[in-house]
Amino acid sequence: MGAQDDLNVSSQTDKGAESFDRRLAEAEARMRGKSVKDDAATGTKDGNADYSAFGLAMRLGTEMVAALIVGVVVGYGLDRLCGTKPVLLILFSLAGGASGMLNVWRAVRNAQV
Amino acid sequence: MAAESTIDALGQFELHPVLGQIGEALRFSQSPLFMLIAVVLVLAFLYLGMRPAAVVPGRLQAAAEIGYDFIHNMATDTIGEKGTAFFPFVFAIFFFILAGNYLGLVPYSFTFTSHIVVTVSLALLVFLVSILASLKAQGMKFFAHFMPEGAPVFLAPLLIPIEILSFLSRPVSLSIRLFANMMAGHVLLEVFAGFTLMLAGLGLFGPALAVAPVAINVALTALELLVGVLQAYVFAILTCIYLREAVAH
Repeated sequence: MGAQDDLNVSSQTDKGAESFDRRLAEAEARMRGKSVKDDAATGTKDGNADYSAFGLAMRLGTEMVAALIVGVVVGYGLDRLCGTKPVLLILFSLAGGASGMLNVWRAVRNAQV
Repeated sequence: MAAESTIDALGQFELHPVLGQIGEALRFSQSPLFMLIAVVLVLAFLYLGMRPAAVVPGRLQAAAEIGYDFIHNMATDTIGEKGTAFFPFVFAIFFFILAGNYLGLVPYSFTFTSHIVVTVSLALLVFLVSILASLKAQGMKFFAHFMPEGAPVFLAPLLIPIEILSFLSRPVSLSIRLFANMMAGHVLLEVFAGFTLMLAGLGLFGPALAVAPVAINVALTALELLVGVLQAYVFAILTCIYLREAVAH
């Protein structure tokens, strides 16, 4: 990354095809020694893995709560429609909790962290 | 904002008409104003960044290219070969949320992603797009996914409601996550700023003690910078995951 920053700085000071060729040759010479190591260290895969590990941690809590909320709301709504006051609310709350666990399980299973 | 003895942590989320008479007539509050600013900022970032179109990019052009590449890789890696079709959608969502989260950290500004009505709208948009995409890609086979393959038939009355609830919880979890994170962060900032004012009024040692909440607020601002980009990333990557399930099979 350090070599790339140098390139950016010099591109602002002088422009033109000739100086570009010269700078390109310099940069290639500079990068030749360490290019293999740098690519391995700053590959996009690694960066994404860091993000998704933290992102996954933020996901799991809300996944569980959201399914429970949906279960309670659906149960309550169906109860009001059908006039079966507490029965569907109880059943759908349990199903909501179960689908919350299912959400968490799916999120964790698919993550390759 | 914070009074002498109480901390009004939620007052910052109230909507007021802006831009004087015109704003009152149009019911135009800070929220749409900052949405417009966010859109203009993102478009200006891309336009000004890519205007030089240099072979060796300058700083702004490099930033614009990295942003484009980041979302493009995310869309094509996660969704698959059809990812390029949804790339503009994911790109717009990511940068709109990111700009909203970061605009909210500017003093005297307003965080529109801290209102659940905004995040629910965004999440429902993602939800509807993924349903339409899966109906287009899979047709009626889409409804077969609510019965897990290989499960015994007598479990269907139990499994199908659970799968449907799990599916319906997607927009809820998307919107609650973004809204709760942004609101909690800004409430924390406000509470510690209020502590500073209260401690500063505490006679001799007060002003010296008041340094501590300021230090915490500095650290919280750094944390909010991380949370802002992370929430935008999570929203975008979940959009990609839902779209991948929609176009698969």
